[in-house]
Amino acid sequence: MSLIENLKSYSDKLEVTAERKEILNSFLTHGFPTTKDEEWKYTSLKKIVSNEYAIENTGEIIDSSTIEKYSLGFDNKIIFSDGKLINTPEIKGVSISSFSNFESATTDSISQLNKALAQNGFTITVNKNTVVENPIEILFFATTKDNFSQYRNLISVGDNAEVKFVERIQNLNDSASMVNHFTQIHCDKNTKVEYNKIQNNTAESRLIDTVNVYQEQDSTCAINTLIFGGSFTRNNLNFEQNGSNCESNMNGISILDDNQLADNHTFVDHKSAHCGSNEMYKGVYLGRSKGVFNGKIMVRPDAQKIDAFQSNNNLLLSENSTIDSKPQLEIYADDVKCSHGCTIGQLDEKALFYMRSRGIGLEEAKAVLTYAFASEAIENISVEEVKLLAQKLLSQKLNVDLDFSL
Amino acid sequence: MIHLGKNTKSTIIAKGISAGKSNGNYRGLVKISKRATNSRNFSQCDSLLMGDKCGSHTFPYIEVKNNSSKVEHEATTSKIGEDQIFYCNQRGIGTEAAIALIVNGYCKDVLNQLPMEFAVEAQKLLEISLEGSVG
Amino acid sequence: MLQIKNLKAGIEDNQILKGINLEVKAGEVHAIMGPNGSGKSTLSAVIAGNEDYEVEGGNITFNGEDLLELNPEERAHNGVFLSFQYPVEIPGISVSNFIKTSISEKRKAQGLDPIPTKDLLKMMREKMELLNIKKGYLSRNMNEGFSGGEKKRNEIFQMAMLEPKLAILDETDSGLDIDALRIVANGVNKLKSADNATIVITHYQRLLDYIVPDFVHVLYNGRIIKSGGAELAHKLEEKGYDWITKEADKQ
Repeated sequence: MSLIENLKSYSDKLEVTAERKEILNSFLTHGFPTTKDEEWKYTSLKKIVSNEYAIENTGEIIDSSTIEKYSLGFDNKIIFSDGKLINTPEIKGVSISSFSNFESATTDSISQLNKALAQNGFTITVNKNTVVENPIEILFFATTKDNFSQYRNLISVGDNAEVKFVERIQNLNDSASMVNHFTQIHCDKNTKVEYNKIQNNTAESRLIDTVNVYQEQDSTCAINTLIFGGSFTRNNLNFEQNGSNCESNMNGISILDDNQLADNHTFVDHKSAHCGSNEMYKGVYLGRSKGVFNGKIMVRPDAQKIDAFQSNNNLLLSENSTIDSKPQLEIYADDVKCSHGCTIGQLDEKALFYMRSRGIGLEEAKAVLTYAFASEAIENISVEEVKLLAQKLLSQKLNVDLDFSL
Repeated sequence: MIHLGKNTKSTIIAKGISAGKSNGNYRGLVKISKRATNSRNFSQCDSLLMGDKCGSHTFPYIEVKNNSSKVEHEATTSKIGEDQIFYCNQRGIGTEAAIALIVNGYCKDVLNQLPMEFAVEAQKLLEISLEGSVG
Repeated sequence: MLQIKNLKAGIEDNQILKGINLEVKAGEVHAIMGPNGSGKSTLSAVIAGNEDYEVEGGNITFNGEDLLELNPEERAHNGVFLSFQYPVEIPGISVSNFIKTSISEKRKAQGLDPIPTKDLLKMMREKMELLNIKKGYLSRNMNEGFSGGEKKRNEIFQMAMLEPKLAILDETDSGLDIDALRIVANGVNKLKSADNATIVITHYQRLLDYIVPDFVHVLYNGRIIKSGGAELAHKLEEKGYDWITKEADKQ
């Protein structure tokens, strides 16, 4: 049966609160978005939601060698295994616990489904004035085959606190598992938050990942996404700036091949004056891969002196890859600096020949130029281990043996 | 700018400053003919508005008949903000001197390309023509 | 050094400052805290001479002179410095060029000869070392493409070069991470002397751990409703503003 039928029969057996039942009914009535919905115009969910998924997590034990294989080596690890929280680090000034049913915006059906039925996730509170020195690593492992799982996470960062995260969702078999991931981040005054998402799952995996960030004055929040794996990845990043002097930054790097699809939808709501936002999305498309980018920037009438910068650059390396890009600016204030740029192109033939004439093989030369293309976005990532991983995955994807780190 | 030959390159940098009730227009033609293989043009036209009673308009004409050429065009419009003037004032720089400073910065790209004697003259002329244009 | 008596000021039809009384002596550090909208930035704008604001009553005396009679650049020449909450971008003008112009104008006003370039560059290098600023910084254009922290450091660099008698730091710490905050605070502390004074306007008590104030004032609804020593800031951090503002509302 299709996913929605599966979810209906699963929810019938479940005991949910009246409030969640109402949201669930709303979801069941509208169903998953189709290409007739503006926000899903270029990305079809039809095939994915027609699959048969296992909604109950069966789960096997995960050993430490598996964890070591996928971890970037940070000391502070939060580990989930088939939805169960199996490891919580002790960090001064930070409290970490599992799922909590928190309030959130449920304007679209994907968020509604998550609010109605999710039972797993993390809740992290970083106390005021806490500066967390080392990044906190969050790993979500799944062993169940053809699994549909949902995670619902909440991060609250108190005034003046600083924290960085590195998250990875990993399927431990080759099945076609799907995750509907939802994270809400509250950045209080004068905070600095960086959230890195490594989206390098197995070839058949599917992911819809939503992050809603609410920022108070003087805060800076950066969300970086690296898309290398998975057959279907859709990121929804939404920032709401509720105070002056906020900064919202997004860096995205997609390197796709075969029939992979990556869709990055971003939205920044500039509601207060003297704020800024920076988006840099770089995509490299090989094989028959497909990329979609939709970046919306809204500047409300009282949000004067906004500095918003958005750039989406794409490299089509094969004849069969495609990209659909839609940058949107909706500006209602008159003293702002907003710009958006989009480019789509190929590698420079002359530069390739120049490198070959210096003894660099064709594939290596292509890889060097592709790295140069993506490097601007990679440079914006502050966590060294994530940067190095990006460089490593890039050379793997392009099938070359090059060390880009200097 | 008319490109007829192969491998030809051109750059156009035009900076206009409008003050008072004036209007500045840029009307430019970049023409790449059929045989001008591999040619390149870069055009940048910027306008600086001083006050809100002046205007600036840009009319670029780009005619390209060769598909190996590269033509780029950029245009920006900016104004001298009161907050920039106050910032300079607070640093001890009087309003006239502040405007001269800002306009100089704006024209630097062009002035830098001129031979020195000409550049010095141009700077002095700028100062005189902008005297009393404080809006 | 600075005497503000019953200052009333506003913008358009709004009266924001409703009678400010403040005295700052040489060698002192005064902190001004208060909830958003209390008039903190208005106070700094009025002292600096921003003509968008109208002074409706009261007076400000600076080193014996009537400050309100002077225009912004004259106040600057007399030694008033404002580190802006939102520093402006001035494209095409390098940092070194801007500071050179600022210093030249001041010396002109005082009837002095222009400073020799050699001495100016030497001074710039000293101050850059003080503030941990890298080499290429001087040739960058004023605040163009600067991050929030870089803009604030640029303000303190200018303060170091202009050596003011009264420095007003308007929310210099907002949006800075802890490392940038330490550098800025360190710079400010090194520039403090028995002959100059600093007014620190801040939203966060954290800065005052590094720039320790002699006096803390709470600004609410256009009036200073409470003054105390450095412990007042700690109390505000713990209890918020309600305990003071409720009393003020009753009056």
